Amino acid sequence: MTRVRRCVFLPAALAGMLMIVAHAPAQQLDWGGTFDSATNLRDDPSREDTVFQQSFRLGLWAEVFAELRDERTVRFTAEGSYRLEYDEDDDDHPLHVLNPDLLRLRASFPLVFGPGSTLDFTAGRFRFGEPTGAIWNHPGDGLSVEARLPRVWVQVAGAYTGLLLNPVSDIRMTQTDLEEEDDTDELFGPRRAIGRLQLQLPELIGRQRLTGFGIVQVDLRDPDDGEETLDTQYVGLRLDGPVEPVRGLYYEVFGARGFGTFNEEGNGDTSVSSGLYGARVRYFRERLRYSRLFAEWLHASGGDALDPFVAINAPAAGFAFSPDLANLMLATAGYSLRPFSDSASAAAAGLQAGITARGYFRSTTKDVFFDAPGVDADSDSRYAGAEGELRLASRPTADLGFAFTSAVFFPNDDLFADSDPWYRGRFELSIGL
Amino acid sequence: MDKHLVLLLLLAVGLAPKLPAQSNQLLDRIMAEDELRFGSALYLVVSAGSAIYRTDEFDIAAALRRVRHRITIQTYDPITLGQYAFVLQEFFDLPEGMWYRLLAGPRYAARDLAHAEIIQGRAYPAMPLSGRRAVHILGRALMHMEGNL
Repeated sequence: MTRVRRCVFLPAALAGMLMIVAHAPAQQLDWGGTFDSATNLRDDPSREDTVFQQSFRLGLWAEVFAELRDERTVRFTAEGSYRLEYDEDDDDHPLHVLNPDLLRLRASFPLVFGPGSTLDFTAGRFRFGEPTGAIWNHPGDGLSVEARLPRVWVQVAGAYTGLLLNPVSDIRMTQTDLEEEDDTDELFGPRRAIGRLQLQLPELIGRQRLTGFGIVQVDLRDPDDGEETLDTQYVGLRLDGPVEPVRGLYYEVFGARGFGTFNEEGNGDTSVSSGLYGARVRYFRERLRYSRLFAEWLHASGGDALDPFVAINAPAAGFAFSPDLANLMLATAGYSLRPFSDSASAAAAGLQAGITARGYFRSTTKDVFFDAPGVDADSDSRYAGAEGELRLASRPTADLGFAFTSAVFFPNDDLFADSDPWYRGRFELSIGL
Repeated sequence: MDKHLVLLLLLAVGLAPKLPAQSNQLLDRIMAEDELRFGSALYLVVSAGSAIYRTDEFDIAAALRRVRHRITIQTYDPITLGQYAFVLQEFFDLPEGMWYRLLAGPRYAARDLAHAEIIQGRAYPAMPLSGRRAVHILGRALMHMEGNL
């Protein structure tokens, strides 16, 4: 049977887009479409052979912009898409998803609190985030209010995730979430309410920025027997800015503590306390063929002094090998450039080539929790393996882009039962309509 | 072609290099236009083209025919951002996207120039265009052709 996901909000999104197109003055309206294709080849121990995966996405978007008096602006953007995913492992069940990706109303009110100030409102369905990029970076339905004063920026945001379609939602914090991921009876993803308060001092000393934030996440489900829920809270600090006087060099350091309560129906509550720490350095030199050099260190607590870290939705840690951001230390370094930036051909000039190396380590060996197939539970090795990635990307024209990414992961045979390399390759094509 | 447009184009080709004071006055007047007129846009583009191209490289009549073939607009009608981008595309050698090559017109011209960062900020094809913004865009188009953008 073909799996079809329809969202009750899709008709609303389409109706909204049609209303925009029909009623907005032409001079305040823009619209367009996108077609994206991604072809994947994967070979790892969770599959018997190399697996072919293909996805297509056809998107339509419309945007209306209105400028009110006193430079106040309102912008409404809607985007809906149809996605088809085919996985060779599951070739009888291609996935079809019709989804309203974006329904966002943004209003900006400059000078509300005096010179140099702005008050921004954003409401609807849009992407929410936080300063580390490793705890919460996911679409949701909600509201964000941001006040920018000359010396301090304050942002309050709240989102509900229970109206996102199950295949679209990446919020998988508990075993129950993971079990629901492939459950075709579940139309919507995990129901959670998430709130964030953020304070930023944009010019602490010179151009250094200090950002403090707090996030509260509440699992709104009523668990059945054996199911679990997880409520979490996070507090964190980030410091970032340019490294003077080296032009083009930027740094970022952050730390966050997570607290939470697992509730397994019938087994009571378990409190957890975890940590996430990171540092990033970037160097950009436009004159040297747009060279970018970067390095990153990420530490997510395991099961030693602190419990394993649980993000609301974590970013992919790697490409061929991408463990959860828990009980993990990840060292990343990379370099990219535009080797033919002097070329008269736009396609050649815009071609960006990059290499990335990653080293994976377990934060602790005391807890076997390390999300990867083939891990030897009795191993006392921290080093998990290394990955090398090559990426070529170009957008030669406004309406055509492509990228090729290939990575090989070499597992440490002290930790993995099978030491054969893992491989993943992906070709992406994007056409603007 | 109406006589006002002919006069403007003759001014653009002949007056600008010889009588800079009058040319500057005209430029000031164009920059003060809240909604740029088609004739003023052509004056800007042809003046700039006459300055950077040799006479045999710059076929004004052919470019104007291509513009007129795609958009219906009179000399004193306000020009939109997309139409201005289209005029720039047809008169100058600027980056063209896949769809522009198939369906040349204001919509994809605005997209292509925004992608090349010749148009900065919002780039809705049907939005009105001030004289000041048009001159800014023209300046960036010339920078792009010189390889400085």
